[in-house]
Amino acid sequence: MPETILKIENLCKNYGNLKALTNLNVTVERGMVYGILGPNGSGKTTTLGILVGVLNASSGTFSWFGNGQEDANRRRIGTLLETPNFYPYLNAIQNLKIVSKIKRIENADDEIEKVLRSVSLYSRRTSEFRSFSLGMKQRLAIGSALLGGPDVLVLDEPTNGLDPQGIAEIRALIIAIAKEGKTIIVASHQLDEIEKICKRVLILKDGITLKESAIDELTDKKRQIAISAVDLKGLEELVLQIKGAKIAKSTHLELLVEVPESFSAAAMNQYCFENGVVLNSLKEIKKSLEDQFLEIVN
Amino acid sequence: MKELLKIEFLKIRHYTVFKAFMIIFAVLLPLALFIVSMIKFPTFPSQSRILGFPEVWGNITYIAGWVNLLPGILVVALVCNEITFKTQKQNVIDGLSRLDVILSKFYVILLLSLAITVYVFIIGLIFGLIYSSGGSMTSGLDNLFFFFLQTLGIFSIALFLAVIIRIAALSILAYIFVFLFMGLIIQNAIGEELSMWMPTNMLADLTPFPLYDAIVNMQSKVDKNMVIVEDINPWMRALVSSLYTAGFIALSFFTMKKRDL
Repeated sequence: MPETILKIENLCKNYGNLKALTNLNVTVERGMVYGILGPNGSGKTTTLGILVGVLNASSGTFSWFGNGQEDANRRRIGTLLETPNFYPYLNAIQNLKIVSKIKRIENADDEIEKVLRSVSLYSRRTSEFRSFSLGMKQRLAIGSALLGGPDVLVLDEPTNGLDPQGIAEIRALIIAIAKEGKTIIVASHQLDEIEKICKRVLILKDGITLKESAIDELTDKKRQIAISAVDLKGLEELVLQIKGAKIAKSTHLELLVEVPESFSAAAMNQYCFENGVVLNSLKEIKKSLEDQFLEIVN
Repeated sequence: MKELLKIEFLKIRHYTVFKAFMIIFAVLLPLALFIVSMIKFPTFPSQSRILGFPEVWGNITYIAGWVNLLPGILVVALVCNEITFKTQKQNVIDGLSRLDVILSKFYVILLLSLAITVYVFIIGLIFGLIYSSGGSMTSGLDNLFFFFLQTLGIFSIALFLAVIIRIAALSILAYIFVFLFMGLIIQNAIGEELSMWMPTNMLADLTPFPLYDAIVNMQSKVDKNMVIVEDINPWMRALVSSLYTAGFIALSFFTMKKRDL
């Protein structure tokens, strides 16, 4: 049975009358890459803020590593929350030395050099933080989160402020870390980012859990196939005879048919042919996370 | 304690404002004493009685008590910077407890108070040796202990104000107001007898104005109806001040614990 890294039970956060988070229940297992999705103000950062000790929960509990809410837990977690927070008058090495001391990392100098190289900041290691561009600041924050090889990474919008190349680099870095078997919890607006790296997602809106499931369940639950034929009416009647099929959209040119996952595009072609209908076109449309997200949130 | 101080040292050692304030304090104190040594007081004791042993200890701690306004501002700045830069929040994220955050700052002000007291001792010793005419060097050294408690107490108030106000400019203004005017306002509001038990007055009176007794004596000779309020025993004052200091540190912690960062 996989080890539980994080268990959240009935977590709530209120700001006066505003309910920022309501009865959140989540379990994250070791090695899982867990995504938190939601529109602005949905409670993503609030959730992460509570989990890393900067916000006090109104009610409910959570436990890291089966060890409750001990401060020492956070030394095993690499966190990037909202904006990169460093001393502007200190350089990259000096800033990371402070983090190393707090995290009680041995061989701090070697570790610092390693992470600065991994986020491509080694050449700027003696530059003051205030002289960094937004992208460099973000990369230093990711480097800081990676210091000491934490058991868990908690990343809030990790590609914020990065250019396309930087986004690709950080994404590759996260995927590489995930492959090492590390647990990653990532909150992002970038749906394709979540889709590419996460195994499981939580969708929040107004602090309420709308969906919590494996990402495959969201993206591949139903197969959509766009088809057309000379006799569209006859085609529609024919496909509706397929068990579990329904017409998602119909135009005068084609039909968008939703069929069970087990029913492939090739099977659709064969089924129509065997029933005397020759298809003019056939195209499988994979429902993206974005489609699902918009469907769930709206 | 050692580990927390090491972390604070990493933050402070490259902070230019810290160095600047410490240099200004280091220059201002002997300069103030030098100016005192130049002034001729017609009715008060000669320079040798002001800056010689043992009077120098009472006088230098009183003057240093005023110059302490500067490092107090620095304490406010150090705490507010952490809030502005969001590094206090990051320190907690990285693994410090909220108690650690307050304790680390308390250790800094403890060490700063100790360093300032040692510096005041050295400057006092130098002036004392220059201006002495045979007085006891060790007599009146308890003033340095009281000065240390006063410095620690004032810095604890600075820490508390920074923790509750969080905005550097407002916190500094509040600190200056408390440092300069709060005592007088309280004294006018509730009278001298009660006000001397209040935190700012209690701390200020740890290093009383050295010529206060002489002035009161002179005035009482002129004004026969003058009421002289009985003073608090200095050691009782030291005890109560220490309790106030502990109270401000505890309040800082509880404020921090309750608050979202």
